Amino acid sequence: MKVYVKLLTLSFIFGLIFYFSYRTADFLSDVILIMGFQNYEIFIGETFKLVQFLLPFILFQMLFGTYIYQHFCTASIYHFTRINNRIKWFLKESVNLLIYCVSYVILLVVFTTVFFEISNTLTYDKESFIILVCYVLINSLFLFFITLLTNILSINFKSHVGFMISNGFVLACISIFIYWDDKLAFYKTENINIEDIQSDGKLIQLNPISHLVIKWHSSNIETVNERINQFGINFDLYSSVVLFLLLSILTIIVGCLIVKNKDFIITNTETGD
Amino acid sequence: MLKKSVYTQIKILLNQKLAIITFFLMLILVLYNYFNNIYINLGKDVIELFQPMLITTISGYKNISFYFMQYFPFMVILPASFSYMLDKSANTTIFLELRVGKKYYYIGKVIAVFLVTFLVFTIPLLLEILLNLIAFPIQANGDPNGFPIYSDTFISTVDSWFLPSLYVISPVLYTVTFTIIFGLVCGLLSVFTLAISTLDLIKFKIILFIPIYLLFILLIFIESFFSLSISTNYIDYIRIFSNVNLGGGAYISVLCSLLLVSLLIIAFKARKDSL
Repeated sequence: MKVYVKLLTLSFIFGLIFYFSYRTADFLSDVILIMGFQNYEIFIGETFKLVQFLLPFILFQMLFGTYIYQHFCTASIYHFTRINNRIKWFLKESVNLLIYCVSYVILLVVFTTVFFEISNTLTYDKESFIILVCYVLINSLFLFFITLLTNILSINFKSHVGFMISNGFVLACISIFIYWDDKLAFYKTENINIEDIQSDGKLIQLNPISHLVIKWHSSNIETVNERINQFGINFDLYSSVVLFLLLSILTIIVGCLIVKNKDFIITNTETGD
Repeated sequence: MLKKSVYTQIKILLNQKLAIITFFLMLILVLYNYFNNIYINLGKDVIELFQPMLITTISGYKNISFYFMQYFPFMVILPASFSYMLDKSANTTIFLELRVGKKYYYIGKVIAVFLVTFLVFTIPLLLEILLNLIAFPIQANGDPNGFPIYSDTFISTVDSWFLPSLYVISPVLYTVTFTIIFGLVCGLLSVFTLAISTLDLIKFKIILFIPIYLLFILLIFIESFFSLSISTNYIDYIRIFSNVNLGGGAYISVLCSLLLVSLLIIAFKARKDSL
């Protein structure tokens, strides 16, 4: 219950922040695209828009980065002597964490949509719902991946180091966009070559953070594709879902190994509390 | 007694890996920028060279400052802000409080955290200024954006910086002054996080990354919410030579408020512990 109060409060605040950042929208898909970094362009001065709109996720990562790890801090030996199968316990905790991630992303969408609905008349159509489902899946899985990664790194290195490594990875991915400033074919005004655009389209897909920008994706459904696909590239929405699903599965496997092999003779006390 | 408290706590902080790691990270960043500047300017004539103070690591002209500023809200608390929690976990708090007294423990803690953070961030940057002075001719006056130094554009750019008259007197003095101010701001932010860490509700060190990051990002949002004419983005204030409309008064007010809040929290904590 306490967790859901935390999630409700956070999503309410960020719903308001998203609303006040843009204020106007016609379709539900517009609201989703605003939340999905719509106005970000790969220019050096725009980098902070990414960092800014990642705030709800990084805050969640900080607050839930100790969700599993906390059991390793206080009375860990007592706790784990009562658990027969550590892997089963870890999987159960991971599923709980995934539920919180999905709930948080859904609550964010709900609150933001409600705030936009107050001052705009939103249209809810089929295309919007397809984009909404993809947004929830992509962002929930991304959130789950980085939060679980923080937890398992914290088990080995303590929470602040775990956070620095996992968040360092996210910021390093954002730094790649700084490096790409002025280099990508999408923003050229002369000598535009379709092949260059397609190859740069493949290049940006190598950066995991690109998968969070809904506007850059493409879709097999023509009407959905018209609302997104800013660069006219082949970057399927479902490929991002698959990417974060695979990363999450990989993190769960690594987590299972770490939890199974954790030696409790060396107890890990975070603060002594 | 205060001297002893500060000295012991600085010694403890320097023995912890985080302060040393952050110092070397800063050093690597600064040396990378320095060698990059040398590589770019190799073989150029003095009239083509940029003013060496405009190409330091925290200069608004350098792309590297963008990379650094992304990590800054997290990096700034690494050298010393965890020290109270580390003291608690190692029971050093009890030992030091018995030795120097509760009051001097907390005052010493604030001074030690401030000094260590200040030194960790300032020494590498001052070293870079020195290296730039050795490697590049001081007569070089080029603007990295390519504007002639007597052009209206360059003059209006200089006017948009904090204390432009100081830059006119001496670019070196200007850069050294603002590097020291940068170090002082780092120290202040670190003390603020330290104050938060003394609150009983903080159970995990990861939570200490929240205050500064949240403060910085919420300030960025304020600019777009209220369509302000001045920038509220922290990078414009923390970097040197930012070419945007800055609100000097608002900046100083925010810093003073942070200092006041930090000191109040620590005074409250010291008083509470004494009872």
